[in-house]
Amino acid sequence: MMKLRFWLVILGLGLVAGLITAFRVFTTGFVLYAKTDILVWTLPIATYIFFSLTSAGLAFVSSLPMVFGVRRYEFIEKRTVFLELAVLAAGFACLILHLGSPLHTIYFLFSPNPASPLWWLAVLYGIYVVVLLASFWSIHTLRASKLFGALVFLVAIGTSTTLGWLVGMTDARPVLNPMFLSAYFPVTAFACGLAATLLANLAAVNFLDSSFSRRQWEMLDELSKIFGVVVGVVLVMSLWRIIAGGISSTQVEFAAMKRMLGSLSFQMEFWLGMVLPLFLLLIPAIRRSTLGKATACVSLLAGMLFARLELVLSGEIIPLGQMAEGQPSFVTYWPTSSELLVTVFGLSILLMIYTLGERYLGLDYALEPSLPVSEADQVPEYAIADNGLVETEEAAGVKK
Amino acid sequence: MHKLDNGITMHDPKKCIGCRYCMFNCPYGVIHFNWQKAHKVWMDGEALIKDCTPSPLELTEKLGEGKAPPYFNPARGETLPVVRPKGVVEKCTFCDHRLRRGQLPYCVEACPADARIFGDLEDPGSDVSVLLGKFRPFRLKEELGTEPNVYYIRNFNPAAYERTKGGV
Repeated sequence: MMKLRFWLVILGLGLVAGLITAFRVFTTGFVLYAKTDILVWTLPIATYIFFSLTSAGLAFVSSLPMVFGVRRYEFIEKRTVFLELAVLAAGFACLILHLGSPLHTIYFLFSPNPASPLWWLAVLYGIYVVVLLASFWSIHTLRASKLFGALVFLVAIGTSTTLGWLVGMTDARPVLNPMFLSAYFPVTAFACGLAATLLANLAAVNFLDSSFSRRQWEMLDELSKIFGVVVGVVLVMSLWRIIAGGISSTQVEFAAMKRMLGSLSFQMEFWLGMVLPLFLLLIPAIRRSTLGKATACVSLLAGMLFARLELVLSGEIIPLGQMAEGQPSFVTYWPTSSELLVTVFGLSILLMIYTLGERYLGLDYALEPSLPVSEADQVPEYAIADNGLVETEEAAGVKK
Repeated sequence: MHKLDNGITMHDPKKCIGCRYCMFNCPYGVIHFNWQKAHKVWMDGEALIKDCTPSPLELTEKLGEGKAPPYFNPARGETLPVVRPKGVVEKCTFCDHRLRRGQLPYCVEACPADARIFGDLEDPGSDVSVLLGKFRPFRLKEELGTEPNVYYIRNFNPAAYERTKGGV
């Protein structure tokens, strides 16, 4: 209980800091950001992209039991869908703090422009929130709906690929390729979704009262293998983005990609977001251990946040048109404290909603057990050790 | 951003959500964002000369916001908010409020060298059409297919055309 209170106090501080930042941004103006007329998209929108794609990735994970009928994953269903809601809320908070006039969205929605990916994204998010809430409610009331699950899955494909269309349709920034991004975003989203799912379930067992059966642990190990494969795909896609879209091109605009290779955000993306998790997940002993899984997940999520920032910056560090007058060939970026606090705000919202959900909504048990209880499931308690599962004395006693 | 009937690309501060997507994607770098209140000096409480002139804030309160110097341009208010709002983008409007009255954009009017010439590209008899036909014009970043309506004439013979500012 003390630990929970301490955790809630930390999150509360994060929320207060974020609310103060929000108030300052909307009263003083966006001068609090590292704003220039060249770097118009910075950390707040990169954080929004990160959360938005992670939410879509969680939808892909939750679709395994809900849409594709992989019933052995039903035990992660409720937690994953709720986490998706929390991540989406965090993403919206960061998006609002990026937009100069968020209240004008109402005019924007009611004067449709189907040629604009931004309009489509707004419409898709509207549908997403509704079907996601409906989906969670159906699971919470033990009437999990395949229809809502399928809608969430389809809309998540829509949001992640439309976001690729949005960022990629910037013809003035050829380094951002729409065809590539609409494939790259869902794949990296899936990696983030798997990492968030694994992390949430590991946290539930370690810090909450949840306990998993051996079968459920095996399912988490299986998810870790899928996670490893997806991280490998992300690495290959990223390498081709660098080679085909950056190093081998002679177009002036592509010099931005080469420039970004030396940046901190790229280094973090490459090593934390791809190499380290892949290395950890390739070694079976590490992959099976709780610490190994958790480290891979945290590393990937942190690396992917840097990846979103690197992607956005690669599109704009070369000044264009008359903005280039009096500017260096490449501009540099370092976030301000207000921008960092927007990210902290998003994380605090996510973790606060999720913590309250764990506490009051019972995210462990969603459905009546749909599978016959196997012999392995009857083993009640397993403790977690760094090198894997250890049967506890109590559990052994029950068995006897 | 939208196109007016006369072909001008125009911003609408009522609809702009301030996402800056147009800035991000503008190859010409001609769209700007109001990062903060554009006329914040109107709220300055300090008088220029103490006990002599009113402070901008006193003046603004007396006249009503948006009706005080030094930036007040009532004509501008005919098509756009007279006080430029923060949190939205804006770009050159070619003084659309002046065009409606049959006047030239003010930069054209004020240019001492008549280096800027304005007119109707659709009208083959307009000064701009004649000049573009006579000399070899080019447009910026034509390869992008944005079809800009701003043309440049680099090499010309000043004796070969009658000096003009164009016309509306």
